[in-house]
Amino acid sequence: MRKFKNDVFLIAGIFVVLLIGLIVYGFVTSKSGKQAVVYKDSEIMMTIDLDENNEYIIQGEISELIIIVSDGKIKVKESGCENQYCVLDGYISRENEVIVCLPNHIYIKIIGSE
Amino acid sequence: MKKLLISLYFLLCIFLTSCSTALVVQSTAPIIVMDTFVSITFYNVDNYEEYYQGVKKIYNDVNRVCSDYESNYLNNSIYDLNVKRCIEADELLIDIIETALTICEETNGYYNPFVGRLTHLWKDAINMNQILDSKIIDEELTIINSTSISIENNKVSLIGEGNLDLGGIAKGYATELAKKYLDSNKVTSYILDAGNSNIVAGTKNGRNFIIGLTDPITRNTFAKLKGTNLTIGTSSIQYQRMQINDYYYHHLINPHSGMPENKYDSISVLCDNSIIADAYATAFFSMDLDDIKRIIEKQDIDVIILKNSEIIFQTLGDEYYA
Repeated sequence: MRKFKNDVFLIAGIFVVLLIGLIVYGFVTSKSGKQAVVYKDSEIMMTIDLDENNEYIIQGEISELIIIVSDGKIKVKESGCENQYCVLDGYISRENEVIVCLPNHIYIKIIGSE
Repeated sequence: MKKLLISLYFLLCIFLTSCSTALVVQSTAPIIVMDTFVSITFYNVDNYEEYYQGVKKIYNDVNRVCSDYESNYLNNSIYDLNVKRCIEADELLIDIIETALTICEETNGYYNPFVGRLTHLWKDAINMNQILDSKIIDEELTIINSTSISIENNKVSLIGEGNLDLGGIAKGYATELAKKYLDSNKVTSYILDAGNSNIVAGTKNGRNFIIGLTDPITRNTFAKLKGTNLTIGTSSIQYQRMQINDYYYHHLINPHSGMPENKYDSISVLCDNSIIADAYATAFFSMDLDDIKRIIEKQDIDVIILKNSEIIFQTLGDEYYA
C-alpha cells in the first residue's frame, strides 16, 4: 500500500515537472525570433531584436538610414534617397514583410514570428 | 496505476511531439536582379542552401538574357538585340520572347513587349515631375504599332524602329521556372517573394500562408489571403508615381493610348502560373472592367481589384480570405 502511495506521488511529481516544462517551452518559443534582418545587397548588416525599442543608424549606398524599433514593429524613419518609398512603407511587423530601399541597396525583412 | 501510466505516456508523447515539430525557418539572403530584391524562405527543408543556389541561378540566367541595359558575355541579351537589331539567341530567350508575344495576343495588346521605350520615357518624365508631351507619345505609339519580331531557328530580328522590353514578364517567367525547379525537387515548404509583385507560396510546413495585399495609396492591408500553393501577381501604383490634380502618373502605360491609366489602384491576379499572373496583372491595369471580366471567363484565373481603398471587383471565394 505504501509502495502504491509512493508511485502515485512519483507520477504526480513527473506530471507537474512535465507541465511546467510545457509551459516554459511554450513561453520561450512564443517569444522567440521576432527579429528583423537588415541586408546591404546580399550581406547581413545586422539582426535586430524587435522586442527591444531602439533606434539604429546604418550606412546605405548613397545615404544613412535611421531605423526605429517600437513595440515589436520596425520602420525606416529617415533616408537620404530621393523617392522615400522606404519611409512611406511605414512600420512592418509580420513574418516575411519587407522594407526595401533600392537606391541604398538596403533590404529589411522580418523573420521568425507570425 | 495502469491509468496513470497511460496518462503519463500520452503526456510525454504530446510534450515530445510539440518539441520535435517546431517550425525551422530558413531565411536566405535576397537575390538582387531586375531592380528587385528576390527573397525566399524555406521551412524545415533539408539542404535548403542547395535549392537557394538553384533558384538564384534561375533568376540570374533570366536576367542575363532579358536585360535591356547591358550586354552579356555571349552578346545575346535584349540590350544586344535592341542595338544590333539581330542576334543569335539561346533557347531561354527565344522561349521568353515567344511567351511574351502569345500573351500580347491573348490580352489584345494590353500587355505589349514593344511598349518598353515609351515606359522608359514616362519613368524619366515622372522622375523630373513632368508629363510626357502628347506629340512624343503619338510618335512612340506609331513606332510601337509598326514594330514586330521575326524568329527563325535561333536568329531573332527586330523589324521596325521599336525596341523590345521584357521587363513586364521576365520576373514572372523566372519565378515560374523557380517554382517548377522546386516542385521537381519535391520542395513544397517555402515562400518566394519577387519584389511583392510576384509571390509564390507553397506551404508553411503543411500549413496555410497568410498573405497581405497592400493599398498603394494608404499603405494599409486591404485583404489577407490564406492558403497553400498560391501564385499571385500584382500591379499597382505603389511605386514610381506622381500626382497632379488628382491624377496619378505612373509606370503602367496603356499600350493603346500611351498614357498611364487611373482606372484602378491595384490589381492582383491569382492563378497557377506566375508568368500569366505577372503579365495579366500588367495588362488588366489598362483595361476596362468589362474587358477584364471577358478574359477571366475564358481563363482559370482570379482577380482582386482595388480603387479608392475599396475592392471594386473580385472573384475569390470566402475560403481564400483570412
